[in-house]
Amino acid sequence: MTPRRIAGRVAANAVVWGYAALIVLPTLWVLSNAFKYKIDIITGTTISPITWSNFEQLLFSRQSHFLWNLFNSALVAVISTAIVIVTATMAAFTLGRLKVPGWLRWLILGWALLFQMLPTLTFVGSWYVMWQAVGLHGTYVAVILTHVVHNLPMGLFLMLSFMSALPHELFQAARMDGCSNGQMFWRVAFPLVRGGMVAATALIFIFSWSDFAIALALTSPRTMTAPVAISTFAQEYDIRYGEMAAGTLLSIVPALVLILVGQRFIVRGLLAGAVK
Amino acid sequence: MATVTIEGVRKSYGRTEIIPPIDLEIASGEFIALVGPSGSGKSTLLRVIAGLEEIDAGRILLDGKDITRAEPSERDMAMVFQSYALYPHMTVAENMVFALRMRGADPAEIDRRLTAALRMLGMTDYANRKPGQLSGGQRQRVAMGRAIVRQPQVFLFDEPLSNLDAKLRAATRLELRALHDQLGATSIFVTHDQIEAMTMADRIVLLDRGRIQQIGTPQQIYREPRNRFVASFIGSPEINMLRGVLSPGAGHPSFAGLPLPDGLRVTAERKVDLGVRPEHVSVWTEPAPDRWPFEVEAVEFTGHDAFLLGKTPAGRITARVDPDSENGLADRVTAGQRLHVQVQARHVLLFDPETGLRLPDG
Repeated sequence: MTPRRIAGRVAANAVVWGYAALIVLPTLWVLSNAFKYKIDIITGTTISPITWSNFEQLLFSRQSHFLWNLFNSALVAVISTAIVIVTATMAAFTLGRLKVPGWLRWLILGWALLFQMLPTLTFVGSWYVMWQAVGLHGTYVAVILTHVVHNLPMGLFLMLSFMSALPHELFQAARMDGCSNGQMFWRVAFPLVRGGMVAATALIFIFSWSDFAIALALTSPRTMTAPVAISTFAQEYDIRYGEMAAGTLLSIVPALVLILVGQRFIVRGLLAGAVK
Repeated sequence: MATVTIEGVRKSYGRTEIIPPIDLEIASGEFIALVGPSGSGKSTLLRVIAGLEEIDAGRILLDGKDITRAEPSERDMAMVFQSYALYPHMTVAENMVFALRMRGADPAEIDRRLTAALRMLGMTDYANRKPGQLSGGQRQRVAMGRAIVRQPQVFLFDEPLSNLDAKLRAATRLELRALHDQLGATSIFVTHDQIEAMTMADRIVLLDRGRIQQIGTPQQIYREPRNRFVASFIGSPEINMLRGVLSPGAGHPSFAGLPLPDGLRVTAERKVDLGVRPEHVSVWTEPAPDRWPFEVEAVEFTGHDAFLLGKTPAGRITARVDPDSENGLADRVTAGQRLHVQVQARHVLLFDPETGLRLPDG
């Protein structure tokens, strides 16, 4: 290897490891805090005695309803993801495979893209007012539907890329074989984009699971999700670092499991259409 | 068995006219090849017949019944796609019976037809495999099988052999034609490969930019091309096309000032495109009054033929030499050598340089 190539390797490795450190080190720091006494966290002791007290406080104390918050998160994420995936898959089939007027297709996709590009916080105020006006603020319906609205553009683009990757002739063959549009979807398109649906499901679920802005504005104490609950441990006179860290650890687990399961599909999903 | 009639069918994409009004009558049980260069509209025409593309004007009749507005599945036609378009998530058997299942055919009948088709194609052992586990040739068979089990009135083939290697393609050509004869359906076959068209078709429809250039048997198309395009498109290597003045002379006609042998009747002097196929040019080592000087530029040996490419005063010419005769001439010739060629006058084809249409002799 020439010195230039070695230098290149070193630089590339430095970037990768640097980036990994940027993500992994803070996470590890937070996770280690979950097992520390408050005094050790505040004094910044690296090696300290291990305790489960943070988890006990989080899960079983009377001031904390963290298990209920986790349940809320799961309920909201599962239902909103299901609605997003079903809607996005069908919409992607319609937009990508059926005869839709060009202007309508571009209107919908353009609208979705614009929506995706604007920061969530731009909309949160309006959503708050709207749900308040119809008397649904603080209900599951409000959070779930808002998550659907928020994640649908991403789901639509993902599913559209999978749908467009299917060869055109396949659908022509299906038409020759006598498929109606519905049969074309269920018997040809659906089985072939299932892998893509898994990838999209994993991504959308994680988006919904980790959402903070929407849940903060639209939930009540009864429907509060885990990320919002974690933030409540930071109060005016007392920041309960230990419980926050323990809550973070517990709420990472489902997302981590999903990523491990869906990783194969996610990579394929993000690369779909990149290589023909 | 059915006749297919195309009456004034026109197709355009936006402002681009792909097929200007076209008329075509395909007889029952006929094997017809739609041939043309890419962009000639042959595939579009096939998709129009299949019902996969809507048309802007005209009618399509199947056995006299108007099917212009019928859905693809209601036309009693089956199509074999270039990419085969097999459903990747279904087994071979499922792929083949999918159309019958969609129509709600009797399960016993489906089974009977599937077994017959699998046996006919020699694919019985592969019935439970998925397309991804098959070779290209096997996939092609499944695509054929999918068409066969439907027992359609018309088979539509969209370049089904183009993804096969040369050897398999030649074998499949024969099989496909045999299958057509056995099933007795009407077949419409799209290809850009003239050999496929020539070897398989009863009649060839030669298309260029959506227009039919000629319809005829392979023999007619080859020997009596209607125009310069047809003459140039069919035949490999391509026909020699020389532009020059043909004059009757005093007893002996000449072309571009060069003497022609007897056999061509020339009555008046005129400018023409003179076409002569490589096999109708003979090569000599000795000069003679009706032979043209020929400077060899390249020699192509293909095994059963050898082609000499070179220059004459009238233009570039390719001549075929039989490698086994003419005293082993083909093996001795090298580039740069000076020989003599004679155009076989009775095989010469003359075209109008302006219109490209073929002229009657003389």
